Amino acid sequence: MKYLVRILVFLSLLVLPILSFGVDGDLRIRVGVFGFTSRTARKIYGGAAPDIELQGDFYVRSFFNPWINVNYVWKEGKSEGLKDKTYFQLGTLSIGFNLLFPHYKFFQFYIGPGFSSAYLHTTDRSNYLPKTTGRFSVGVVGKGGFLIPLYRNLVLDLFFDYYYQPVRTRSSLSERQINVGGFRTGGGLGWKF
Amino acid sequence: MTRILFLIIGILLHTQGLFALGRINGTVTDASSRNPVSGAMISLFKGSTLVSTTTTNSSGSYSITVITAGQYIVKVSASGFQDASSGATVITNQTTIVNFALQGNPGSIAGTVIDFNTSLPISGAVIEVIQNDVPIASTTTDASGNYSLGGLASGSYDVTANATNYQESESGAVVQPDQTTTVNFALKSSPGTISGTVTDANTSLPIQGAAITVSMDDTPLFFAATDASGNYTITGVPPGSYNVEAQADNYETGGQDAIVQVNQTTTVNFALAAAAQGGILSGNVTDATTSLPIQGASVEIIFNQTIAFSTLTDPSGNYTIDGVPAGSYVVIAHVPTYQTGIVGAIIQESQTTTVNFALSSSSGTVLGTVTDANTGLPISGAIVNINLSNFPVDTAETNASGEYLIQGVQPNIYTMSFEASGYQIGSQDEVVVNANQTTTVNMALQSTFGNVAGTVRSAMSGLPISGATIDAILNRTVIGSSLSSISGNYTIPGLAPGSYEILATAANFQTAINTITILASQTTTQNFLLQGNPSTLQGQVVNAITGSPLPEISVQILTNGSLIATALTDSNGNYSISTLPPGSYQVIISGVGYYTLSEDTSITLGEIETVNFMLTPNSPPRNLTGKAIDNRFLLQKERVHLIRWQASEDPTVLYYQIYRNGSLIATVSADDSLQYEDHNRSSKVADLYSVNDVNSSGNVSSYVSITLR
Repeated sequence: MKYLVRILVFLSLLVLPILSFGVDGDLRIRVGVFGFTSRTARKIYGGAAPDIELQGDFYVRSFFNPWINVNYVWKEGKSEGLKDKTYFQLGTLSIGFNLLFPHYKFFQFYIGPGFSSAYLHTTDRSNYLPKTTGRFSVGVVGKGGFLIPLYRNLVLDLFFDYYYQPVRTRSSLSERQINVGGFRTGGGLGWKF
Repeated sequence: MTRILFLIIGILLHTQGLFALGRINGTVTDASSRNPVSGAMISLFKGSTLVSTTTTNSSGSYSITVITAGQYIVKVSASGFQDASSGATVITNQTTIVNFALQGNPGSIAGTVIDFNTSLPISGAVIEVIQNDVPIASTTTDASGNYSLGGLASGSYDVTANATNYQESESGAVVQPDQTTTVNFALKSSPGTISGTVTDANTSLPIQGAAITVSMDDTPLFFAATDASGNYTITGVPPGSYNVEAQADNYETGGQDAIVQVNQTTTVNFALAAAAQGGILSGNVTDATTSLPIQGASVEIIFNQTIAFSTLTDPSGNYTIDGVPAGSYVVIAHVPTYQTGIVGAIIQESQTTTVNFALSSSSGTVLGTVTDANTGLPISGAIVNINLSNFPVDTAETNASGEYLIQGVQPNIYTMSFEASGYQIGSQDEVVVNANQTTTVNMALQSTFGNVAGTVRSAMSGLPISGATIDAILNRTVIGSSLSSISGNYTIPGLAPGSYEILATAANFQTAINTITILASQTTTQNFLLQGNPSTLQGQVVNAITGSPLPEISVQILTNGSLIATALTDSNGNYSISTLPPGSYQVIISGVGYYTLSEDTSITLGEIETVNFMLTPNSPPRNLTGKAIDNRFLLQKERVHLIRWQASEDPTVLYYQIYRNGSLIATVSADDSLQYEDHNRSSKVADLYSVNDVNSSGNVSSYVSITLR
């Protein structure tokens, strides 16, 4: 959790100067569910995992919004075989831009790409393997969703993202690389500055 | 009178009118061959009335005289021909020509079409009948491979048979009228092709001019040579299994098996390895005295004491051996009545080494006899070697009389060795062999075994005891045994040198035991004086759990670690040993499926001691199973071997021992879950797991095992 706090502080420090220079934008808190694409990960950790995100969008053009996002996913599972407990945490920092259209009064649809950098941390309750393992990963992200103005500066974000986040496993595993990314969907509330 | 005259003239005139003669001539020929048809029946009809008949002569000609002019029908019939007829107008005093060209009766061609190799019928084969290069009839074979073509005019035909995946076959046929000519076909399968490339195994460059031979059952059938690109192609190869061989100068011959199928190309490539060239050894063999060449001398190249190459000298005494791999050799030249020549030679690759021999005539002979050193009896089959500087020059084998003979030995000083099964190796140094002389070397070999012999007597009376059993025991195992004779003597032969315990047992006497040492080829004497009034040890052996008597259980009596008596329990589990001297003993009870039991006991002179035993069944763990499990986390995993078993039938088992590849790795209490996880194993290595149990008496059961990978 301390990593999450550090990332939030880093993101705030990154976003606030930009906003202070008069660039319009919003800051969103998003929550959703995360679904593994990796079959192995699904076997170990099951289906959906909780996902919380903090994202800043910058209104550079009416149809073009760069964004920066930090999110955190965690899940408990059981190993294949002996069913030992294992804990999964994934923190991701991503940047990219969204294309918005059309410019309706009541909602906007957006879509956009980005790059992501993630740190995966697992805790495996086995007496015969290292207790913790961690991997850094660089990947890509595709974002899409709807923006719905609610009241004054409040905006509702319904999102559906996909992250491709490959990490290397130990060499003894037959599967040398696992995509720990996946689908994220949910909603968030943003405050326009 | 005038009337009569006119009447006569009239009658004559009338008669002349009635019998005015006409003639029908003609010839009858074969329409096909144009040969005359003799014996053809010619019938002349006036309307439907048969007027006259005749037959054709050998030239096919006929002639019919017709009295009355008019219209006639001439019909002709001949055997083997179709009937024919023709109209003819006969005019008085004229000859009407009526020729016939008869068509022969039709015949037929029939037969069967089969596979040349399998003899199975071929259905659907197309049969064509050809005359003058023109197909005139055709048909196809039925499911049985049969065909028939009728209505064929007599004559000669060509008959062809065609079938898919078979080669066409053609046969001549002569069709006779009213007859069926049989023409059978055995079609050969359509051929395939063998092609490929011959290259140098080292450089992969093509080899031009390599000879390709395709053989079946060691019979060469097809040949080809590779072109400049190293390629070859052999077409028209009947389907079948062949051996394809590629030969090229300066290369090792390559051979492969190939299967040729119908209308298919089988590729057989060769990568030929360069042939080792070796070197050449040449020279001549001459008489050392006359310098004349010696023809027929055997020249041998020896490598590792084996003849690697050999040849004979020609009339000029010369010899050449090529293809000798580079190296150092011993070269021997020998010929009867000459001393053997022995020299060393170094052969170099692609070079010629010259070794000349000048042999001295005459040689010596070595003979002798090989005998048993103890008995003096001859030893047959003994191997006799005569060596020069540890190099075996010649060898011989003794006959049934133990005799050997080695001739043609070059004069020198040799060592000799003598080997025979069951005997120590004998040797003889400094055996001097002179030219034209015989050297005698006899050898007496020492046996590798020893004997023990002696006498068994009563300690009280001093009389010999007959029928006593004498056992030679090594490591509690009876190696040899003998019964004493009526004079109390015994011999146990064939004992390897070593220390033995000799046991003498006789009824109503105390068993005696002594330790002796057997020496090779020697007889060790061991006499026994047996005391009377023996003691008896008896009892019963039962199952410790069920209480039932146990038959066939081994009872061993040891004194000071030496086996002195053995017995087996009877069907009631009873045993009895009645030849024991007084003393302290260890009694070992053992049986298949039971833990071995050991107990000490003492017995006094003449006493009958009863000792009962209860054997606990050996109950290993049951139903051992196991499986390899990958304990997999997201970023790491380990291989775990999980083994499970069921409890032993022995209720007193305290714990189980788990061994991996013979090493104890864990113990599991009998009260715990009967399973064990062995972590961090490798899927590349198989592990043998063995499990046994230990009961409250300290007995360790036999193992049950399983292999996991």
